[in-house]
Amino acid sequence: MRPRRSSIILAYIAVLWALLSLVLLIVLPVPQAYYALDSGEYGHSKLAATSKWALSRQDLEEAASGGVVIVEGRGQALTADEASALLQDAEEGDVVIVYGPWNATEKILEYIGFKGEYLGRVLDPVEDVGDPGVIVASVSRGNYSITLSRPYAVNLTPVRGGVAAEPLAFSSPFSYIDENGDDRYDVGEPIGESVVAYRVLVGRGEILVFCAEGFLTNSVFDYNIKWLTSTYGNRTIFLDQSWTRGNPLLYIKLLVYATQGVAPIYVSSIALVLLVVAVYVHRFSVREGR
Amino acid sequence: MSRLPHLLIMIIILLQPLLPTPQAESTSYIIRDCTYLLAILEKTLEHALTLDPTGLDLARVLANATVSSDLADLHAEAYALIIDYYNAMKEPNLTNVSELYNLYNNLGRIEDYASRLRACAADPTSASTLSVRISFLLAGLKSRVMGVLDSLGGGNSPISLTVDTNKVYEPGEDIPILVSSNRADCTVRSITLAAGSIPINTTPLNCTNTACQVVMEAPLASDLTSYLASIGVSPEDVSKFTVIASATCGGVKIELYRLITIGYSTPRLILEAPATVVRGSMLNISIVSQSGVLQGTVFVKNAVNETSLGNITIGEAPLILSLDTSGQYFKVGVNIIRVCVEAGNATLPYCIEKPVVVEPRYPHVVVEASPVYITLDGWVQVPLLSYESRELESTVAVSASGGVKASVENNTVVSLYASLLPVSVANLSVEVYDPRGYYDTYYYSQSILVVNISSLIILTLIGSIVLVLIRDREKAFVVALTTLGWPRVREKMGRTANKVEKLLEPYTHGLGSRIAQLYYGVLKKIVGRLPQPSETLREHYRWVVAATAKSNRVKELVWRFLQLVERDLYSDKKPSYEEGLELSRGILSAAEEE
Repeated sequence: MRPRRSSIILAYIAVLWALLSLVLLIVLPVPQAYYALDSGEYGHSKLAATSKWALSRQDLEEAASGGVVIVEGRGQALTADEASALLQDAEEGDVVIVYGPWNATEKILEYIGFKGEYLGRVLDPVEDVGDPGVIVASVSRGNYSITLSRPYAVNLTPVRGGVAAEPLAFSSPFSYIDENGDDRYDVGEPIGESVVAYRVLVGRGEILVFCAEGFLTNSVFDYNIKWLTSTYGNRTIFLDQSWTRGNPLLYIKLLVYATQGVAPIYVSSIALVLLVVAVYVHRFSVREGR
Repeated sequence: MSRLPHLLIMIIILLQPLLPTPQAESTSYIIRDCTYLLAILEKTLEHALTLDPTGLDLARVLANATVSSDLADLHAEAYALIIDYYNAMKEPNLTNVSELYNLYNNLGRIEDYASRLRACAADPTSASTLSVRISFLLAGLKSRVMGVLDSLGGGNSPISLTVDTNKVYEPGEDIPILVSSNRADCTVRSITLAAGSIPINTTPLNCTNTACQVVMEAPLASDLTSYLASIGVSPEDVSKFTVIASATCGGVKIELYRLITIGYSTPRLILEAPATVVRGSMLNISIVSQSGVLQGTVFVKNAVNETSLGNITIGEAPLILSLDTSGQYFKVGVNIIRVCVEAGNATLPYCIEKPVVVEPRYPHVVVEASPVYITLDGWVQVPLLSYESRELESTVAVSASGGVKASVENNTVVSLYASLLPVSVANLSVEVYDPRGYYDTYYYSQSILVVNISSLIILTLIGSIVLVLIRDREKAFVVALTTLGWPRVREKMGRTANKVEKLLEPYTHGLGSRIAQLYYGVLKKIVGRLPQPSETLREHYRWVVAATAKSNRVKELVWRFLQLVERDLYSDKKPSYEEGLELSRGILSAAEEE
């Protein structure tokens, strides 16, 4: 029995819609800070292209072997379990790089054993890269400069014995702390070098806390990758994206795009072939209908 | 074709991952935060005062920083001076005394920069604390430069130069200078008194003695004209001069410097002038000198040019000058009266300014324009009253029309065509000007309402005619208006009316009702005119039957027949044909009796 023309058109529309949804889901960019597939200012697409991804804590536990660099750039605070796992990784010899807004870094510092006091954003109208909120900082170890996006100054006080944080990077003498957050200098605000990154030795490893919203994020990645590879060049870099599990859309996209998953160009090709087939079937059915 | 957009959208989406992602370009940030610039300047000067190398690093970077264009020159100059300061103070020696002296004189530019920054700071009050601190630091820097200058040429030099550096010399006063040498191969060639790098006076010598006495005269202020023209500092800063002894010792040229102070004063002038004056009247200005008798010049400056009005001698008695503002030197608007006095013996050249607004001189004319003009033909009359004895010209215009030129005498009435429209709002503008230029042009403008009665009547007539023409064709007219473009309305209207009539033809034929057709047959016999497509049966009865039939009997029967037809057309309870036939006969017989 020949199918009716209306049912073929309906099937065509359904296939087209499903195809479109799939392609949109996979291909359209998702603006999410610290996300491996976000090519925006605070995304991690550049780092993701040169590192391995950890999509779950289990991935990270399996990969952490005392010789890797775990990049923990994220917008939300770590949970107690996550922080404890990271501390464990560091104690075993891994290097953990933490950055993000103050509410994210504050938590990890708390778990390490410090009480932090937020002093204000660090702005540098002179030693910047076109924006006073994106500053050039000098690393105390080695002759390196790094670039930090939206850095802030904090005052750390150890609340537990046996922990010490050594300054890792300083802002330039031209920087100042915008204490009242009005994006301009006010008389009395501290002007001069500020500590914008700390290094905490934990067991056989270390935790590097960059007091900045962006460090290995896209907008400043090119400035900082040289320091990362020069300092920890022999270690594998893992970008922790386990926090995306709470968002199905982000997680599914990661699964598709992950190096072990399906390449986007492959998905696009399949989608294109399906589209062509759908168009052909529709045209055939229309001719038959006539 | 309808699938093509789908396909294009899909292809664009599918190819999106292959497109390159846009890269943000970093551009040089322009520092506009004046408070920050003030703070970083203070920080740099703090380091400079102690010759901390950090200050030099800061200055080098800041000299290349990008600041807003209005600050750029001063900013670069200030940091260049700080770098010069570091360089000059690094190893001060006899060869850079001249540089040190220039540096000493120019450090004031940093204060100018600080003042500018304070003025543009978001909070000038709090910024002033930084400014005060900067002034203090600059005083320290100057003192340090001065100390080095004073110490130069001391023990290591084969010659010595003695002059009283603590005394403030009066202009024209003798300055005793003693130059001596403790080596036989030294010859003092000259003693020079210099202002900055410009020599003011040089005394040649060929002194080989152990001590040579020279007396130089402190220059009068009038001798400093070329120097003052070449420097950027304000006259108040002109006080430091250099005594330079040039010597040759064993074939090597040596220069020895001493800084001396000569007291000059800035003349104190008082210039009084009215704030406004009407062009053509006399402007009286009063000039007083509180610094003795001075020679000067009066200038007037306006947007067009600056002109010298003549030389004057000013003393303690007020000098009253009456300036004719009708001349070519004064222009309507702001004019700056500038009085400049030449340098005297002890007084430096100085200028004082006062702005005077020259108001235009209008002729005494009155434009008696009415806000509403009710005209027969659109022409309006504008009366112009002149109280001036001289003849004036005028241009009267309504809205954007070309305007009418007319001479204005005692009582002139200017007529001009205002508008063809029945009612319109226009702008009446009148310019009254003096051909001889004694008076400034007087401008008058008013919004007027013009009523053109002729146009109003014509429009009413045309409207009435149109109404008559389209009567009974309203539907066709409206349909034509809504379906056709305006230019073609007239052409298409007839055709559309036919179409509408054709469309409504079934109704005019009773929609197949036999009783209605019987009714139409009766109407044709008794009144002749049948209902039009644009009228109902009742309208037709009211306008045609009731107006034509004389007998009330006929009217009554036709009305009953009409109701019967309506029942047959629209009601579920259809009447019988016989009933209609009976009524039609009754009407026809009643009509015959009539």
